[in-house]
Amino acid sequence: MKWPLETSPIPDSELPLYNSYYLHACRTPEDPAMIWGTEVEVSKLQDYLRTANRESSFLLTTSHILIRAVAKALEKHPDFNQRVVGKRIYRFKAIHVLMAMQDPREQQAELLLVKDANQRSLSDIAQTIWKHHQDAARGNFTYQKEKQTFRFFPQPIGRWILNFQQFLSNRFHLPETSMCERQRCSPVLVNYLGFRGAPPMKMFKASRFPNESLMMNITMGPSELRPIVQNERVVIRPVAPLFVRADHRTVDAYRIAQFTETLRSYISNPDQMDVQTGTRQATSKTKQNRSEAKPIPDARAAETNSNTHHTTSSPA
Amino acid sequence: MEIIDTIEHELTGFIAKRAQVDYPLKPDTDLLEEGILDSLMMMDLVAHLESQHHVSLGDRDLSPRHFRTVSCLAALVAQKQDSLNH
Repeated sequence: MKWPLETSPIPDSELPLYNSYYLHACRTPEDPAMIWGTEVEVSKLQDYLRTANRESSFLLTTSHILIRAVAKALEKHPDFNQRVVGKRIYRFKAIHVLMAMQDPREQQAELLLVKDANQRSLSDIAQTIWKHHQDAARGNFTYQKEKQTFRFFPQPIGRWILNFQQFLSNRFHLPETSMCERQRCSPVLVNYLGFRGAPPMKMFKASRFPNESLMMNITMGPSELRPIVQNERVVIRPVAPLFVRADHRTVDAYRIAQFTETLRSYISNPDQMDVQTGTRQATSKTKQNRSEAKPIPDARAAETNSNTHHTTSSPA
Repeated sequence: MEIIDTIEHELTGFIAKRAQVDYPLKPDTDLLEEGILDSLMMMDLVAHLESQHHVSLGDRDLSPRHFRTVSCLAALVAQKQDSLNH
C-alpha cells in the first residue's frame, strides 16, 4: 500500500505564525487563497518548441513544457509540495502534477496525474499525455472506471459518495488508490488555456476544487504580441498571462513571488530545466524520499537569475 | 495518388473548419509553424482519422513529422489503409 504523504505532519512549531492563523482559525466564508497574476515572454519557448519538434519523436507543446516547469519549480521550492489534512500540513513524498485536459468525446474537462514529473524528460511527459488523449478519444480514458462507478449508483447515493470521499480525503491521511490518486497525490492543478481561438486573458481566478490536496492552481493563457521593454527599448514580443493561486495556510505572498519568478524563468527559458528531448533522465527517487524539505532559496539569487530574461512594460 | 489527393482534400476542409482558419489552407502549409495544431485540435484530428478514415494510430504516429502538413497526414492515412487492405 502506497502513501503519498510523509508519515508525520509538519510540527506546529515549524509553521510560520500567520500560516497557522489561516490553518486553525479560517472558517467559511474566509478564503485563504492568494492569486499572483503575471505574464511571461514566450519567444524563446516558441523557438525551443520549433527546434525540438524537428527532432522529437512526439509532438511537443506548450502544455508539456508548463507541466515540467511546474514540477521543476516545486523541486526548487519544496514548501509548495505539501497539503493540508484536517488542521495539519504534510509534505508529499514525490512531485506529481495534475493537469486539466479536455475529453474530446464527452466534451468535458478531465484531470490527468503526471507522476514524478520532475524526473521525467519532456518527451516522456509528452508521450504520457498524448497516450491519455488518444485513449480518451477512443472512449478508454484512464479514469473511465471511476466515472462509471459513480454513475452506477442512483443520483442521491452517487452525490453522497462524492461528498463523503472528499470529506475523508480532506480530513485523514489516506493511502493512494488507483481510483482516488488524482485527489490525494498532487499539490497542484495545471491548466493551459492557450488553445487556438481562446480570447486574450487579462485576469483569471482559478476555482478552488473541494479537495484540500490541490493547494495550488497554475493557469497559463494564450500568448499575444505585446510591446515590452527590453534593455530600455520597446520591442514586440509574444507574451502569455500566468496566474498562480496558492494557499495562505501553507505559504505567504513573499514565497509565492519567489515560486512564480522561478516558474516564469523556466517557462521563458525551457533550456534552463535541463530538458533532454527523447531521453529519460536518471531517476533519483532515493533523493526525493528524504523526508526533510530543502531550505527556501535566497530571494536575491532567484531574482538575479530571472530578471536577465524578461522585463515588461505596463500593458498597452 | 488519387486516394491521397482525396484524403488531402477532406483533411484540409476538416482542419480549416475546426481550427477556424481564415485563409486558404494548402496541403503543404506547416500546421505547427502556423499554430493551427494544438492539443485540442490534435485530438479532434486523431478522433476524426480513426472514425472517418478507419485507421488506428499508434503512439509513434503522433510525431511532428506526420502532423506537420496535411500532405504528411494524408500519406500516413494512406499508408495505414494500405496496410489494413493487405
